[in-house]
Amino acid sequence: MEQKAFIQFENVSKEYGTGDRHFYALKDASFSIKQGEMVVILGPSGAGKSTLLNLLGGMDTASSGTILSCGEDISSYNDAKLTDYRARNVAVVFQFYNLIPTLTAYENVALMKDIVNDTLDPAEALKAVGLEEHMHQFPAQMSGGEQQRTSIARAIAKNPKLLLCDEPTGALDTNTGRDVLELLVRMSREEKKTVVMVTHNSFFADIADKVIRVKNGRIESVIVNEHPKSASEVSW
Amino acid sequence: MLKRKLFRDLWQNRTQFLAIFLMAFLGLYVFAGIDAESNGIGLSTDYYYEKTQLADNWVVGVGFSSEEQKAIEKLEQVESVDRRAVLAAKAKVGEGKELDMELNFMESINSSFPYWIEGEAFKADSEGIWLEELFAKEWSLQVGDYITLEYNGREFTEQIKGIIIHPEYIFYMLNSDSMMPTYGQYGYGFLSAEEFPMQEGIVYNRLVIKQNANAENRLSENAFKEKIKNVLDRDDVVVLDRSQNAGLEMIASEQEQHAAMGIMFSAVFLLIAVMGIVTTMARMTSNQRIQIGTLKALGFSKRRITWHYVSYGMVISAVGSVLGAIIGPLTLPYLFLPSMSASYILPEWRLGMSDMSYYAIVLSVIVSTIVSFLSCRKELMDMPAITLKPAAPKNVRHSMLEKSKLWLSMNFSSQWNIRDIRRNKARSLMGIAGVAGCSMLLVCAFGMKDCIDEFIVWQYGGLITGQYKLMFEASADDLDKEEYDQQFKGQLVQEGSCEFRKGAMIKSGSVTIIEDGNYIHYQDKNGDEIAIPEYGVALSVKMATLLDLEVGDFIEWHIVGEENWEKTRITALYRTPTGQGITLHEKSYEAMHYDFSPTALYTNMSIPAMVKDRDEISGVISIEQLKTDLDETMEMMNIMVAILILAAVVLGVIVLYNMGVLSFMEKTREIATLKVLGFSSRRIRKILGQQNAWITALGIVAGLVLGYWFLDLIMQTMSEDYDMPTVVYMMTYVYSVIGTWIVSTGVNRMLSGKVKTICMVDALKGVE
Repeated sequence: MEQKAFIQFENVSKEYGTGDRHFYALKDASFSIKQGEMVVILGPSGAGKSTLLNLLGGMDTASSGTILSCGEDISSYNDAKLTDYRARNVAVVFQFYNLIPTLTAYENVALMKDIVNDTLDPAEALKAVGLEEHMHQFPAQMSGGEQQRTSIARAIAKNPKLLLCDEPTGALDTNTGRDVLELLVRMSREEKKTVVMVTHNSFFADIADKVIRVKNGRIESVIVNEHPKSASEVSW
Repeated sequence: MLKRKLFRDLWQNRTQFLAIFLMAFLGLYVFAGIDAESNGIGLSTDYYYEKTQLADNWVVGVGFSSEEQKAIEKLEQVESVDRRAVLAAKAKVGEGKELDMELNFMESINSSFPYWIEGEAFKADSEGIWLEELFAKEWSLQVGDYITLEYNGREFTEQIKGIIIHPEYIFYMLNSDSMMPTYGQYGYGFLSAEEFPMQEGIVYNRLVIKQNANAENRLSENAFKEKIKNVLDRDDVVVLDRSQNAGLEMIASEQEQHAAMGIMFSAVFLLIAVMGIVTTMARMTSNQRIQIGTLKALGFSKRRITWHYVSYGMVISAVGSVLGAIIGPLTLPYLFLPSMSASYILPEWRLGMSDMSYYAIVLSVIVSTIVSFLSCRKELMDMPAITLKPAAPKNVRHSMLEKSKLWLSMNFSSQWNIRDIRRNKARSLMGIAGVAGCSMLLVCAFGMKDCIDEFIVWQYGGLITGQYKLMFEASADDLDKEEYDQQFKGQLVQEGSCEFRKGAMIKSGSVTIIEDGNYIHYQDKNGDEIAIPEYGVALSVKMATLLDLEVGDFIEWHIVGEENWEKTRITALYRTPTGQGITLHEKSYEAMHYDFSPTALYTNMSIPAMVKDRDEISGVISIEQLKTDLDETMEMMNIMVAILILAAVVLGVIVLYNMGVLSFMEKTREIATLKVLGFSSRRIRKILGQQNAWITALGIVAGLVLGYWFLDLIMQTMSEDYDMPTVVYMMTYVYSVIGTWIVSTGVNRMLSGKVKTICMVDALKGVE
């Protein structure tokens, strides 16, 4: 029996501008994602991947269509409700890590305590990403990979239902990128988190349960991958 | 965790936040410091008046009977009435010195008690004299000593029973010509009426009234005074209240004046603090745009993030304000106390902030918080998806100037600086305001001295050209006065106190009657010499403003001690710095059937030393000596000037340094690019220096104008009796320009050294 959709996009559009300068960043997007799935959204730059991710994360609002996520109709939400939705359900890993430069790795993770009640212990989260040695360093004192792992620890600590990743390996070298990827896959397989990753790197398609290809603001294809590879098997 | 971020951000941007902190600090330092001092004056005088049960009204006249006293005492609103004879006497001290001493012979005492310093408590039926403290100190007189007094040619000796001070003499000068008291050179004493040397002849010339504070149906002050006049049924008396006692009024208006200055100066500092917050917070939030977006994406609510950023301005201004309000009252008043206590005689000087200081702290914090909010609101409004991306570049339009031909003829550095200023308007404005504040304070500082100089030159060079003033005894014969007039080829003048009435408003002032002569001059509003007309009265400009009267109107006036109110047409207006009131020509005065009875003679001929010992002469004043005394007692002014100069420099340095660091940090990449392109550090410094020079020049121009305006404001807070000229000499402007320029270029030097430290490679690395 088909598992009930955890995320459901129905004819979602996002348009910018007015008159002559008006264009669609996303047009009539429809797809669904099951709980615990590892999804890769693929497409060249400017295709609408980030828009998709922003809408999913409640960081932007759709112009039309319905978005159901984590059992909520977030397309009807106002600003305050979206903030609450983000706080309860979503964690984001950014391409450029987006750590607070004036807080240490530990403090960046512990920051989550300020918004969510049942967070994981920051030290545990950092240990899970192998950073127990660097806990009290500031972002500027860490390498890119370490910073990205900190940002993943921040996401883990929040214990979210949905983990969104925006080009998480975009600023990293291949080996470090693979480590990060492995961590994300583990989140999906072992922790049963729904992970949605945006990338322009088609090699990542192999590790996903589901691959959504986007082009020119439209969904090109949605392919279910019956036998996803592990992160160590892919190379780019 | 956001709190940690707050404190680390504050530390990272410490230069800017230090500037904001210092401005908030200085604002409240000055405000609370002066508030503690001026409010302290109120507390001290309240204590003094309460302790001595200072009277509420004084009736001045000649020969009050005990029936009259009792009639007033019967009034419901009156608690007690004492009869008193206040007489000008001489005290013989030192080796043959005769000094002026005002003696108060008391029939009884129920209010206005002397404040006890030493010896016995004062009693109205006891032998001996109670002598004023500073006079006793000056001449080493002690309780138990004897002092020889002379009144009306009669010598008598009294034992000193006590040393006292009295609130009615809180500020006490012998004659109205001096501007500052010289305590010790004259004094006052209190005695029982039974000690009066000519027993039968005592003439009570004061009724001292204490009102009953608990009386029902209290009358208004004016109605009460009218009622007393009705009860006495005579018109030759004047009923005074506390505000008409020169000393009591002086110290009260001094208090107001200090408070007004405190408000004005703090406003300047707080304004700069607010501008500092605007520029710093706007820059910080735009630098942290991505961080703000991240916090939003992580699920922090808008309110949390807003609160976080608003906290910067709030924390800094709160810490600065509170510290200022604590340290100000502990230090600032002590700068004023020495000169204040040299002018006013109080048993003790208290300090204490009023509620105003607490309101000022709250106001400062609220304004800073609101300003922080407004300056970072922009970054907080958008959806996180938008805030996560770097801000779109500003839509820069070419200005009119850039389209003109002039633009093309400009060199690179001018073009660069004009664009930079246009793109950073808030920062440039803050720079201009800081420089303007600096030169404004300098203009005020030096200008205050100019005003006093101008006052002295005006008063004793323009208006009074006689070198000596011969003062006649009240008992001197008018014929003798004529003789002196002939002998010294002088100009006779009669000076006295006067009351003016318009509707329900009564003001007291001075009346001067002059004969023709060359030693007293009058000037109109524009400073042109005018003659006092031989008919009607001439009114001083300030009094005309207070009473809202003009030439051609009638003025109701009444010489203290005379029966009738006169109603006379105003025939001229004249401007005078002191002694606001009216002046009449001898002929006009005599036409009203008064006798011209001169009180003094101005002359330029030197006066033999023995003249002042003659019976009909009460004293000789040398105008030169008066000017010297005045200079010496201007210490207060020097302190103010020093404070202002210091404040100006601090203000200038802080604001310019802050602005410099800000612009430097914003331009790091640009500067590095210029370096890569091959510009030398020296060339780049020159470009930066040029902008600094422009801003300084603009600020100075604004500051000179504002400085004059501010000085004028200060001069107007002086008491009603003064009409101080607001004058700024050319040299003051020159000093202010030079001073500001030194501060500005000095700061620029400090900053431009940083150009060398910019590492091209680091600065041009990735934005992230």
